[in-house]
Order: sequence, then structure tokens, then C-alpha cells
Amino acid sequence: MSSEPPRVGGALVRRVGTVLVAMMLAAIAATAVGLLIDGEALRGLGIFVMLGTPFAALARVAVHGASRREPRLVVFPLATLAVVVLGIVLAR
Amino acid sequence: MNPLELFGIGLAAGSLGALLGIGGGAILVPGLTLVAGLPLRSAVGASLVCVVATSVSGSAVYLWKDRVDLDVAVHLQAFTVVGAVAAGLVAASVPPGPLFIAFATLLAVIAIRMSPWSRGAADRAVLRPPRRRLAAGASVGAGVISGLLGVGGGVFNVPVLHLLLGMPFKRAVPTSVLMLGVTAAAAAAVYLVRGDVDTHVAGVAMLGTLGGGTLAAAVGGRINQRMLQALFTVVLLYTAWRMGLRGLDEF
Repeated sequence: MSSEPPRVGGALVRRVGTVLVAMMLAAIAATAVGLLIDGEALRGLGIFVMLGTPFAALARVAVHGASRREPRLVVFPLATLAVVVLGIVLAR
Repeated sequence: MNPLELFGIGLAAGSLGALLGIGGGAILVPGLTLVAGLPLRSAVGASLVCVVATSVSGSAVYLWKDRVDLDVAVHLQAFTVVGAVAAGLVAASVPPGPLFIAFATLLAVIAIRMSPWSRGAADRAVLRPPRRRLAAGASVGAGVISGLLGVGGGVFNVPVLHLLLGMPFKRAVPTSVLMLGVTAAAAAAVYLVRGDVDTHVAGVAMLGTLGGGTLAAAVGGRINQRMLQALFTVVLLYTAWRMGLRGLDEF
């Protein structure tokens, strides 16, 4: 697994990087404005977007895996997201 | 709580974390508890948010440079997240005393690994054939530590990727950076839903952490790495001592 070249193509890897940057900038902007105007909802939105960013990247991988019929790129991201949703439901 | 103090703690964690290749949680949690006086659970919640921010900003660069093994990251994340979510759920019922002691132990381990006087086990090791089941089990353990103590878990992820899966070091670190973001986000989501993330504290510390990472990228090449590691080892050992004493006081 280790010394082999990565099996996932460079195009997907860069697309995932773009998702991360776009959502990170949105999270920073919302948090900074929320702190400046003392807006609890906007701060919360910024934190929420930041926490959602890695999961959005995983969802992007799953969409790519589904379109290319690569089960391993669908099963593991969806299993990860399912565990997170279960954790949130149990925490409530 | 003084926003400048919070921003300064975040800045220190972000810059030192980026200079030394760690997530920053090992600096943030002691800073928020011992300096800012936050309860441990709130400090862990805020730290997890900052670890996500550090991971996202670092991963974006590594992904564009094609240094992340996305296949392995996506596979192992499913296991780290199980540990992180389980730890996040039980953290509410764990008293602070044992958590402070566990954190002090973790800091001591990181201090020894980061010390300029000892080469890490990962550098000495002879690579063996991939041991995927063991890697999956170790990933669950890394997730538990992340969810309980608010650290990224990179100090455990990198040896798992390098020693158990035989991944070259230059790919193991970027892959770990991506993984620790998902792990910390999973645990942070549980803390957020339970009301253990103060958005003011987490927001200011997160901006400080991101600013620190940018600062480190700008000045990183001009700093004597060996001297920085030596200073960091001493600071970590002192912090471990203080966290240990605080843990004993909590009993």
C-alpha cells in the first residue's frame, strides 16, 4: 500500500483541496464578522462551517467514487459520515 | 475572558504547531486551562475546533501538491472517527482529574519524541510489510485520545502510517494532517451538540491559530529548528508537570 503510487487521481485530490479552501474562507469570514459585531449566530455559523469542511471533502470523495463505480471510495466516506451522525444523535 | 489573551494562546499554538509539525492541541489545552482558566472540557472543545482549522489549511496545500494518500486517509478515517465519537460521548462522564493526568502523560510522550537529543522511533525503524488490521486498531486508539484530550492525534497517526503501513515519511505527515481534521471534527461535533464549545472562545482561538500558522510559514526558514525543539521540549515537560499537579488537585 505504502510504496505504491496513490490510486486516487490527482484531479480528485485537487478538487478536494478546492472544497477545503472555499469552505475554510467562508468559515473564517463568518467567524471574524461574528466576533467583530458580537453576533452569536454568525460565530456559531463560522464554527459550524469549519467543522463541516472535512465532511464536505469526504462527501466529495464519495460522489467521485459513485460516479467512477469505485466502491471503496463510497463505502468508507459514507461509513465515516454515518458514525458522525450517530454520535450527534446520541449526544443530543 | 480577554480576547487578546485567547488570540495570543491561539497564535502561539498555531505558530509552534506549524513549526514543529504538530496539530497545536498540546499547546492550546494547557494554555486555555492553566493560563485562561477555562474548564478542561471547554478547553478540549475549543482545541478540537482549532485542530480542524489547522488541518484544513494545511491539507489544502498538501492536496494541491499531491502529497496526500487519499485512499489510505479515507480508509483509516472510518476507524479514527469511531474512537473520536465514542470518546466524545463518554468524555462528559469522565472526571477532570484522570483527564489532566492523561494529558500530562501525553505531553511527556510528545516532549520525548520531539526532543532534539533523541531520534524518533519512526526514523530508526525498519519498514515491515503493511499490517492493515493493526493499523485500523491503532487508528481507533488515536481517535479516542483525540476525542478525550482535544489533540489532533498526529503524534500517533504518523507512526501508524509509516511503521504499520510502510508509507514514506514525506507522504505520511500530509496524510496524517488530513486525517486529524476529520477525527477532530467528529469529536468537536459531539462537544458542540452537548454545549461544550463556547463559540467566542473557539472563534478567537481559531483565528489566532490560523494566524500563527501563517506567521510560521513566513518565518519558519529563519529559525534554528534544533534550538526551537530544545526549548519546546523544556516547555512541554514543565507544562506536563503543571497539568499533572492540577490533575492530582482535582482528585
